[in-house]
Amino acid sequence: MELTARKLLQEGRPNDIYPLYCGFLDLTVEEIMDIQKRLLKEQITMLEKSEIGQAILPGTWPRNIEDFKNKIPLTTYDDYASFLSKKNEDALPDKPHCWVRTSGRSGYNEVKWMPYTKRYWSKAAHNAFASMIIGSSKNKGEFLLEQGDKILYALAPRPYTSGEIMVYGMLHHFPFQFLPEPEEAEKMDFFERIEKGFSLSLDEGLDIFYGLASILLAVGKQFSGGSNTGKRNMLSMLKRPKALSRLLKGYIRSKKNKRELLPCDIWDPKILGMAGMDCDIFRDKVKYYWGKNPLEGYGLTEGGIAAIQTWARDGMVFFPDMNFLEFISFEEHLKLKADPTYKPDTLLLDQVQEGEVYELIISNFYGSPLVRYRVGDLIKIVALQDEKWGIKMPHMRFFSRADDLIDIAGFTRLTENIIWKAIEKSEVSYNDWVVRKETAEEKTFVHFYIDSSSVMDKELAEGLIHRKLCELDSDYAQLEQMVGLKPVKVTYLEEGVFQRYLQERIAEGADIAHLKPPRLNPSLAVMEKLQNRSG
Amino acid sequence: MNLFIIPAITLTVYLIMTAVILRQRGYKVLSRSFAFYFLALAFWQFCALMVRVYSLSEQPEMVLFWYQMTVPAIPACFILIFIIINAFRRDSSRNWLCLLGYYLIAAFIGMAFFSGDWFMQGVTLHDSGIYVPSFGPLILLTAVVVIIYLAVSLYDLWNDYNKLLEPTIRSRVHYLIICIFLIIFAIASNFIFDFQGHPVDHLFLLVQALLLNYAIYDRNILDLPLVVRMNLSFLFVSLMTVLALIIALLAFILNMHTLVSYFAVVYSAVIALLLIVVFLFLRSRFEIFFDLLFYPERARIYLAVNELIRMSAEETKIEDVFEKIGLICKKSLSVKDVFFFLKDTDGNYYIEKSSSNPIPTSASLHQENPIIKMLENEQSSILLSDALLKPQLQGLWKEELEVINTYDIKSFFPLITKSKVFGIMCLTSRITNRPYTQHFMQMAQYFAQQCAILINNTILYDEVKKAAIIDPLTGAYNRRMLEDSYTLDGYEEDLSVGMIITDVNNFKHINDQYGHQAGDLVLRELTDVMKNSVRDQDLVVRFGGDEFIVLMPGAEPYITKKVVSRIERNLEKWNKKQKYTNGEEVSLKIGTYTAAGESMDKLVYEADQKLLVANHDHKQQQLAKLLNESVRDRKTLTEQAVLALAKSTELGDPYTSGHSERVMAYALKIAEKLGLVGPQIEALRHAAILHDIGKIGIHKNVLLKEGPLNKEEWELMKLHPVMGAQILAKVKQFEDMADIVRHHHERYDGDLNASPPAYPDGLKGEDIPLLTRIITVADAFDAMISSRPYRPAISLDKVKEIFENEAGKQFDRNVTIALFSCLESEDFIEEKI
Repeated sequence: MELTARKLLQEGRPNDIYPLYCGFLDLTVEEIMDIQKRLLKEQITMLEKSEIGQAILPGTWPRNIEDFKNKIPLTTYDDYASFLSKKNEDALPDKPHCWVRTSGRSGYNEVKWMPYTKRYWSKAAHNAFASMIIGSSKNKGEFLLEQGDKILYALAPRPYTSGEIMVYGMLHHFPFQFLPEPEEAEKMDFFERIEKGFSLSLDEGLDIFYGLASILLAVGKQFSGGSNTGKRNMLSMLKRPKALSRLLKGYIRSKKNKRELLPCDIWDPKILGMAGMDCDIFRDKVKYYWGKNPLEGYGLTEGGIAAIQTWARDGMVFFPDMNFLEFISFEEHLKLKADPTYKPDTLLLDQVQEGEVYELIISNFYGSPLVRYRVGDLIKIVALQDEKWGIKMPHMRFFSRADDLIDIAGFTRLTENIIWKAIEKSEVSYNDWVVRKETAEEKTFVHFYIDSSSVMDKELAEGLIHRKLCELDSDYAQLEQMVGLKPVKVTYLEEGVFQRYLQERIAEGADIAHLKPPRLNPSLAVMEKLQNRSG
Repeated sequence: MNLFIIPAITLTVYLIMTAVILRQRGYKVLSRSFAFYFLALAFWQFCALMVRVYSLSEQPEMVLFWYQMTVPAIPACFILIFIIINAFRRDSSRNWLCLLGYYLIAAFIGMAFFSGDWFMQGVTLHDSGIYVPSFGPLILLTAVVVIIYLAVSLYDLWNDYNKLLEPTIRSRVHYLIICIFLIIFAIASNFIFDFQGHPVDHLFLLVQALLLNYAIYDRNILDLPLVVRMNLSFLFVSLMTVLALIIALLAFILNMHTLVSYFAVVYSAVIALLLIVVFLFLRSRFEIFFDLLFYPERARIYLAVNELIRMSAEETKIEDVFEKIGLICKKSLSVKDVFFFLKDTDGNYYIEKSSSNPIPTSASLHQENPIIKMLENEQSSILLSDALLKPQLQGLWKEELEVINTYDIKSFFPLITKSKVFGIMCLTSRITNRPYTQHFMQMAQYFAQQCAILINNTILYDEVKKAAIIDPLTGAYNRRMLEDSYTLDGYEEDLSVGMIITDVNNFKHINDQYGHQAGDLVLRELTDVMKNSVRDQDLVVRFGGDEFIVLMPGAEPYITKKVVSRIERNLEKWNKKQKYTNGEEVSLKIGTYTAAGESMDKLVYEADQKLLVANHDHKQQQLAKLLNESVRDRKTLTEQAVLALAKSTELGDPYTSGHSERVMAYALKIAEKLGLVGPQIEALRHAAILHDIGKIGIHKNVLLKEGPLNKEEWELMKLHPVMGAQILAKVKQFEDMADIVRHHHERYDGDLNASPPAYPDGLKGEDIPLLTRIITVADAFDAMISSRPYRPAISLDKVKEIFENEAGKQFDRNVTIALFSCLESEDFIEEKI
């Protein structure tokens, strides 16, 4: 019954692939709400009968949306931890097809397990493949993917969601070829896997490359002409004529353009996809290295593949059939933050307003267990529709993690994204950094702790970062204009301190998400470790 | 001459086609391999042409050389066909085999050019003037290569053919397979000596090349079967016309000599006309034959629709219609099964009707199901594989998909009448994996429209027929069914007939207490209880308001008893879950009767009588009905009727039996002592006997309760004086007594909190009518000296003591004194009890 691109190809219906996967882009908001409400109804009937559902709301569950919003409490992972961390399948609304994991908070629920039913898993992969179709095409209605297109395996393997959905789920829908093959790749560590993948793609080509924005950038840097590794590779390429020819073509192209060798000289992937909160920061650099404007997606272990950019590459649209979507307005979010017992009002997708920031709340469909779940992300609605491409649904952009905000004197709330952009665009060089909101002598500071190979004068660095922050955030700029406050403070840590921290964490066997310190407001314990290592 | 012309023509055709193909946009790999293929064919033709040229000029060396050069063209054709197929299938997994193929072609050309002897060692001139080659050792290698590529091509195409659903591509694969066989025939013709020297292989190859081009590029432009059919039809028509003319002409010429000329003309014309009539008949038969030959699907559906139209003229049961349509549909549409869903009466669900025998399981399609919504809105057929592409269908539920999966439903066709969908025809997958083409969907939709007309007509006819004998509220048969002597299946007058007669106890109370809607639902569900309890051949008939009769042909008494037990059991179960009477149990009075050799009328009469006799509640209802009718008609009741009415309140209660009469007697004695006379005595007589008339409205569970009443029951019981007064107030003859009856439970001191309390109005002293005060004393006296379920009768001494204590409190002192005076007479109690 399930239609996949793979099946459509077998049936000789390649023209039906686009409407199957991307037809939702032609839906109106009303049609989307019909789908949302209908699938929620099904989900409620399943949850109501389950142990996990009864733990959230004992008795009969409401059937209409207003009652659903009023009676079902907002939830966090803690509400499910007792069932999900033990993988208690009997308590779930439906039989799981697989369990995927993600990283929780350090020290508490460090690993978050999440069951995906077969339908949820397949729908997430369906949406991921829809992203591939959009990413590879230049116009609505185009389907340019081909069987055997090569994808670089640059993702965390299963049971991480990326491996489960973006590799196995994707293969369920379409006969791609991963470099290296998944079975082989999963026996390697991350760096080995990437290296092997690129080596293979030199021979066989590279059609699709997606991963975290930071990975796309790191790989771009590594392939840039000046690296010694590159030169050594060139020598070993002599035994591999296809790879050599590709490198030579790339070399000629780079010379023709009078610049270093870049990945875009060697490959011309159909799709360059990236995810992660740093997409906006690295977008330009990724574009420079890969010669393509990357497609951004929004996915999460608790909510599958939730949103994707379209051809305009400006703002993402939600997939209507993955989760039921609710939005807490920023004011309500702040009230809830101040008083966790506060019951905020939520809006639905057809009620959001352009330019507003919202906290995202999701309820899984298809028998997966989370209901009114606080994802912990703030998103901004950047447009209610895209007239040019005829997309009649709201477009959003990732704004910040709900917890990662530095509030300065109530004037502005700096997100990690803004801070990252500021330091990136200033001339302050860095290997890595963290930033903390600190208070001393009744003054609030945005304190940067920077690990850098070329240390500059602290005051100069503070000035540069401050200027960039003023450029990027008008509210922040008012801080100086109105109260004469310049809150940026810089402290240089010893060079390589972050690398040493990372190695120690690996040795301790920490989870992949907790290897590096959080960039915003790391705890005092973390700061102590970093400063001790600075000697 | 033709020895040169054919290869020359084919060579030119191939070169032109190569040029045309290279101009095609898109399909890069496909066009390239196609162009190579035509070049290979052109080369083959060129070599063949050279062989012929040098054969004529008798230069065997050159003939051998061109024969040798021909050899690589054969494996090249097969390899390139494989490459074309591979490009057409867009399968990259066999790219290596394509690459190897190119290498092999290059190797064969090289070998043919430099070491042609490996393929062909020499030529010998045959008697017919043809040079025949003798093969070298490597010719086997080319054969092996040909076989491998041929096998893989056929294997891939066959696999695809089984998986493909898209009809155009499927048809192309069809033609590709034919093309491969044409090449095989072309090559094989070279080994058949009779064909050698004739350009048979070239003709095969030319046809094959054109077909291949058609299959890949132009499939949508030309409908080959249509062309062939049209030509055959035209040929047939022409032949028959010519034949008719020749026969007519012959008849004329032959008869010219023997018959007078004008008669010969007429005679020939008659023969010609007869021939034309036969010809017309044959023509339509041949057209059907051609249609079945070239468009079997369409022809079968047209024949099926004719069959449906014929069926609509017949009087048929709906079940038979479904069965017949199902069979026709399966046969004509070549589907594995067909299901019909009809819209239910509540409009919310579609219930299943199926052609399958037996029906797999019951299923329904909710009207909120997006497929159903789409079907109702668009009112056109839905092919599931297309519909699933629509994003609106992403809201389908798992269970909805499961229904579709379970029944293997592939397409939906609305059954429409008066612009409204009243049902759905669902087709499953087709036999031998035939695809659902657009054309097929159109034809099936046409078929569904005819089905809709037929089904709708049959349903309407059935409904009209049933409406005459079916009770619309309960769905049971109605009385008319018996009165009009509708056939009772299996009933013969000499057979025994079991009859169960039921009515609902106190049904009026259900209607009054819980509303008529609840009453209707109770009746409807009780009918279901009975229907589920009886045998298949038994009939449940709603005989009157809440009276039902179950007719059981051939049932002996023990069978009737069994069914009665089943009804009682099912009723008990139903009572536990029904919610219409707020937990109050609904009960049935059940009587049975078995007869043989009696007419239906007699049976019904007997059953009715038995029911009347057996059922006390029925009598009670009859009396209530009598009163109501009197009230309505303002008729005067007789004394006897008044007594009957009063007694009706005591039916079924041994403890209160005769109470009203006794109270009347005591009251009259007391009144005598008080000196009342004339009209007052008459009024007291009636009022005393009717004082408890209001108990008609009190449920018997309360009236007959063994034990003290609880608060709610007591509150109900306290209503009876008011209800009694209300009843009497509506009857002209008794309206003066309403007040007397209303206050017979007041206390002389008007104390609302005393035990027993005053009710309903709390009047006191002289405000309470005298006749009422008399009845109060008489009523209390009779109650005290009578036994009750919860206490024995009170002794007379004790009664006197109570009255002494309550005089001036509960009772009027003067009336109490009159009672005591009466008690002095020894026969006061005995004579009346």
